[in-house]
Amino acid sequence: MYEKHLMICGATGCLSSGSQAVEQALIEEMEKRGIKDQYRLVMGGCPGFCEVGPIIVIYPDEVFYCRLKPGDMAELVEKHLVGGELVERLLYKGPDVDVPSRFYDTIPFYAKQQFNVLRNSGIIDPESIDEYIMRGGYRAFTRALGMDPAAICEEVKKAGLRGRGGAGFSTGLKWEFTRKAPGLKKYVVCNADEGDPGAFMDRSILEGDPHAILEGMLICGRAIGADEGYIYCRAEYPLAIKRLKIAIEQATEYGILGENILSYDFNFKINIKEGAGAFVCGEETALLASIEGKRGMPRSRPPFPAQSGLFGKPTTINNVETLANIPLIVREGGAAEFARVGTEGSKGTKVFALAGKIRNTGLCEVPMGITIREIIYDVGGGIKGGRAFKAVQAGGPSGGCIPAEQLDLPIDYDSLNKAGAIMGSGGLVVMDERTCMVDLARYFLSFTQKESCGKCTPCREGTKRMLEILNRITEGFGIPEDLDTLDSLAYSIKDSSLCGLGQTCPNPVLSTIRYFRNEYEEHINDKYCRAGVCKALFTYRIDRDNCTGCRACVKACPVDAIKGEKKEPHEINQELCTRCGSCIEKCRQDCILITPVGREADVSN
Amino acid sequence: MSAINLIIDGREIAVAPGTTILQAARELGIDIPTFCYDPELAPNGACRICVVEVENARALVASCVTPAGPEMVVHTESERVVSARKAILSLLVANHPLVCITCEKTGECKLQDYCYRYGVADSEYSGEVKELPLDASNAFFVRDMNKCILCGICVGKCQEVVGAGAIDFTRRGFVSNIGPAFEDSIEESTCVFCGLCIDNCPVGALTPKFSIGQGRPWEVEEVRAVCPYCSIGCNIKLQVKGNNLIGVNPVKESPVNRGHLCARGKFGWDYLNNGDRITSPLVKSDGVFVKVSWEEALGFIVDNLERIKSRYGADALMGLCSPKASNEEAYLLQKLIRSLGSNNIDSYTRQCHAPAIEGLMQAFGSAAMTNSIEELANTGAVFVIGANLAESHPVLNYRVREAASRNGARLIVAHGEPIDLMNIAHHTLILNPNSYLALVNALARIIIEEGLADQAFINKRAEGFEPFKKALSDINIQNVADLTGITEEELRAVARAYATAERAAIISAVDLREDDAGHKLVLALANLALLTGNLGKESAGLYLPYGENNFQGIADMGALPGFLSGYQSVNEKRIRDKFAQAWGLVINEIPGKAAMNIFRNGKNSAIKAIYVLGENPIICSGKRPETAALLTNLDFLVVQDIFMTETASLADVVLPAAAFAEQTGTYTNTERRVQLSQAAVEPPGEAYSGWAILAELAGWLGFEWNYNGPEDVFTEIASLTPQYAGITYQRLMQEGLQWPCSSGDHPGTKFLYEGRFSRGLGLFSVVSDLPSAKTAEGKLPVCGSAGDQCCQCQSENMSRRSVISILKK
Amino acid sequence: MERFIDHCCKECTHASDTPCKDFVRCCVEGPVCHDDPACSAKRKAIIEKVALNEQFVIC
Repeated sequence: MYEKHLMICGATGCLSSGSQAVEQALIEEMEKRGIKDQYRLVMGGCPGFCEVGPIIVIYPDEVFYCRLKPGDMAELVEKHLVGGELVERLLYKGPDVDVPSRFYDTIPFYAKQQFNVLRNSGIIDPESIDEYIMRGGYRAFTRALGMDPAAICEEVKKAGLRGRGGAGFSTGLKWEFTRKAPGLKKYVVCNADEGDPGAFMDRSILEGDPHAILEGMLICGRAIGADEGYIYCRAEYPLAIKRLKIAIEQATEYGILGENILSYDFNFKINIKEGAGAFVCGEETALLASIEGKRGMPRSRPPFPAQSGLFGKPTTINNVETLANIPLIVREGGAAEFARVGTEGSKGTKVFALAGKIRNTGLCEVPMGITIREIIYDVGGGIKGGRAFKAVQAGGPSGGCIPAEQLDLPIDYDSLNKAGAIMGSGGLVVMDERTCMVDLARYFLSFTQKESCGKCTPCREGTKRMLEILNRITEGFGIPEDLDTLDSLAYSIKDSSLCGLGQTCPNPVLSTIRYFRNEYEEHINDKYCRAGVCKALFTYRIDRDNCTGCRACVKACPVDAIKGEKKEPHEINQELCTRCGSCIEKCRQDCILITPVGREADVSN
Repeated sequence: MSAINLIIDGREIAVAPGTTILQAARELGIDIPTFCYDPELAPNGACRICVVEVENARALVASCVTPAGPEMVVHTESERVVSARKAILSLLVANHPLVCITCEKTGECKLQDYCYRYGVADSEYSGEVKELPLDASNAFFVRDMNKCILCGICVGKCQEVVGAGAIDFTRRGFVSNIGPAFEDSIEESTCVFCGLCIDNCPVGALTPKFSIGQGRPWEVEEVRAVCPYCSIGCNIKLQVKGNNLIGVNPVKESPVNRGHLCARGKFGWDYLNNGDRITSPLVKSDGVFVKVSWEEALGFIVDNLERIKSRYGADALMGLCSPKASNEEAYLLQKLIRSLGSNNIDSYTRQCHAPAIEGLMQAFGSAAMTNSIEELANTGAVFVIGANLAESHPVLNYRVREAASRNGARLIVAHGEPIDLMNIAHHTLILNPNSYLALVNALARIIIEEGLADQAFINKRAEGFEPFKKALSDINIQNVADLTGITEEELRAVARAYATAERAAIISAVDLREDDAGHKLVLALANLALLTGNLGKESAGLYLPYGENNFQGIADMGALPGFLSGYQSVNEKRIRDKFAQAWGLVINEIPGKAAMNIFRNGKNSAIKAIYVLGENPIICSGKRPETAALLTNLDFLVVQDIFMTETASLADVVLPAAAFAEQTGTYTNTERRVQLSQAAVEPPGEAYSGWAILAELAGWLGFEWNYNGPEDVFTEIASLTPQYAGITYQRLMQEGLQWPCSSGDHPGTKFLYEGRFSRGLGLFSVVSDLPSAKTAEGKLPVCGSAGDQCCQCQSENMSRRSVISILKK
Repeated sequence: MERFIDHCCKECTHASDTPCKDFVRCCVEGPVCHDDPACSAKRKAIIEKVALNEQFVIC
């Protein structure tokens, strides 16, 4: 038996922070001391706290080491593994704890989280089917094999699970439609095309716990009467694809995929289809077209995929996170337990990706009904750099922003819709006063315009024209009529587009105009971007009253635009300044102000 | 299922379930604008201009793809709808070059029309406008994708109807475009230049090169005609300005081609203006052609014919009628030859189809096509064997594709090599053509063995079943599997697919000459159809489409050595008397000689004079030496044609004829449909309509034929030909009629043999499948190309001098 | 017995083409079809090798 287990995070965030090098160093240090065989190292799934990566969690000690560097490994091995003592300096430290914190129960980031979908992530070796089984894996499927298909659908309905891909449609009801559709050949499709920029919830599940998806699909297949499934996974996730392939091989070897599964009259096989770089293929009918080998363009409904989907057969398409919930629901007593969490209309938990100006970036899984305030401040640790919260963008390019007035909004499908946002896939981009809302809308719209499939006029042409207007506004060429034009064009696009992409892509624009109209008006009428983002619409000026001449900014400036005597107030040469923002980052006196072009600094931040 | 009641713009209507709001509105006469909607294509719903407001729906819905729902209340022109439509038009115009002044489409452009309707004069969204280079690389049409509104109809036609798949949407977002894969030019793509994209584009993005700058839509006169190439006989509208033909468009309403054409019909007419056209009568003098007057030419002909007749007898005279000749021409040619006392009237190219014709005569008593072209779309199974329809009869190919892809028919394709139709076939059989017969016999055997034969039909409608069944019992299926390379399992699957469909059709375009393998195959296919009761009802039958446009017609007209018009035998006194009375002379009672036999004898033939109407035996024979020998050794050769062909260059007299668009006449397509083609432009120089030349010559020969026009000729035809009895030009002006059409109010006959076969009962034939020695070297020659491009038979008289000649593979 | 798919002894018949319907439960709680402390121990050994702590196994 192993002395200890070291779970190293090998997921998105930590990988980019260098966890591979950390792992290498760790192995070297252990080999140096000839103790490698006593310890089990697993490069596994995501523990969620990307902000403090790379992360290693040591079991059974339950110690959470973070912000690791290769150079820390010697001490870790020497002091903790060999010496049996904690390495305090590598524990979690932050303004939200008094002492360096050791583990999930003491680290505030985790306090309000509940791991359903992420139950195995970071706990198991994703390439081990045995570990998945040890954690209760495939029990729910075994139970489902002995159930009546209609009863399975009922349980999922009773649990109240709603589609986690964004639409929020009742999963059990969707399964029921497909189950009832006439025909012998049916399909289960898993939408793993996670396309929202910055979203990596599905990725973490696929990479960290691939068998959960297989089990979800198997249960769905049993419930609707399908014998074949496809996982449509974006090609930009090669590790996920690799893990899925391994999982399918293992499940096949174990007789969990194949024919006459576990001696029941049930066959199921799963194919993997890789995406090819199109956001629109996350839309279900475009996804089906892509699997069929056609250009990924959506089509009108009816007919709905439940009646006529893949290759014209009844098909259920579910998102990765939705499927990962299924085994929890269908296991004995699972539906009731699932329904105990969340709100009346939105049961269960949701994984969110926290990004932007928030202190604790990463993935978190929280019960539905938690307020935005709690996510931002308790889970998220509040705004970085102590600035003020401005808004949070929920739902990516299809979503809207939620301003400070609405911080106490509970997160569930219906409340968010009423506020003009959507749950979407769970991306939350947090913004402070240095985020320009106009630029934010422009950013999302440029994304959707590039990704628009081109089939229908309102989306293809309309997003281009909206983007042109926003570009003009951010460059200082906005005219007062622009807001009305944006409004009416957005409305037309929403009202007449063919698919969900077109129908929701004006949301960021509409929502930012709704809550931050003054910013738009400032851009248009005053040619001023108070967030300091739209380069043509502001200048940096040093407030001479508060500048101490510390010259921190001078060192940071890449174009030598700041001049002045030591200990004397300095000045920025507007001719040379490129407004890169390096100086304002470094200023210790907060005396570099964002001012309108051609006017003296007298505008509040 | 019960009807659905809904209210559109305050008006109630009940429709069948599945009807879209757009269809329902059209029934009420409400005009909802559309760009991307086409009833022939899969539902699109892309352009969004057809959006309407449905009360209580969240957003506007596209009426072309939204099924009418019970109690729906729809507003097609509410403020919200109009606002959305204006926005869409404004967006389209923002990215569209407003060059209406010189655009070929001005006056018939949907974008223009809808902007006018909704008052969108300019766009309120000024920004980037696409600037794509013109694709004018190919010889046929120009693609100006800057005018394209991405409705996708061209893509739909290309992929779904035609199956060429040359274009699709490319790229994404604002830079979306439509074009070939890898952004190749059309020239480099799989485009077959059928013109369907051009014909259905709602704006001016696609323009035939010939038409550019030639005339505005309102200056153009449209003349109804029939395509002169293949035997489908597509209905076309000749676009005429002044005396110039500037374009060809298909007729949408015709049941024959339903708005479809192929490259030949759409683009293959420019030969009309070719400088090589013969424009005056020519007489050979000292080995050189000299231009003469009509009087001289006709006098010369008369002298020679009378001389030869008196010296060698009437049997030394012969007429050769091209299957491109109109019915009137063919009728008059055979009348002329017979008036001179000879029954030697035939078509050199008849040999191509002779085996098929003989086979059909044997099995059914008539060689006429059993069913119609449009019925193919609704069949339950199609068995295509030995036919590459995409090359020989493209429009027929479209129907087969429609049956298989859209209407759920099981498609079985058997061919000697891979062909495009196999892409959508449910059963693909690639086998040596020498084994076709073995295949068909094996299928028949399996059908009987598995109890799938239609015994009731066999008992009531056919004879010869027992010997046929016995002969089949000797077949060893495994041997056939080994011979053909097709597994027994697949053979059975194919047999079942054909036999279990309620209606199943067979299509073959096999053509052979001197060996009988084709004849046998036709008999075997007829056996299959009889076996399964697939005759005498709609959307079933046996389709053996001919190559040439009027092959059917000239045979109907009696351009046959043994028959007068309507297949009335020269042998029968009663028939001879009937014609004798009508024509005022005696008909020779001995049938004439077949052209095939005459030419085989080479210069030893007894024929001394031939009048060739439009044929080119030198080329058709594959340049056989006997053919040239016979022609050069003739005492007298007259050729009536539009170009100086190889045969014409050997003639003593050449007479300039009018081409199809320059004369009015009728043509009978392969489904027995008599259609009227009208003259649109004047023939060049001194060329005349074919019928008029023959009538004039007849007058010079002393016969009194008083025809004031081609209609008079047709009236006579109808009076003497029972199958044509009820057909008149007046009726034909409305629509073509399929014979038999026995009286003025008979609607024509869509499919044959509903009650009885022409010979009474259908006949099963025993056909052994020993391959004929003559096909030892391999492939069965197949009637491979449309119209005049068939490799052996036709001389490409028209296409050679047309831009479409570059398409020949 | 290195992995759950390996047979613990001659009694075990589960394979993908000869499936046993108790297989999944048997992996952790087994053997199901017969009693044998040795077989049970084999399973425990597999589990102990990778179980991070007491709460790792879920039944």
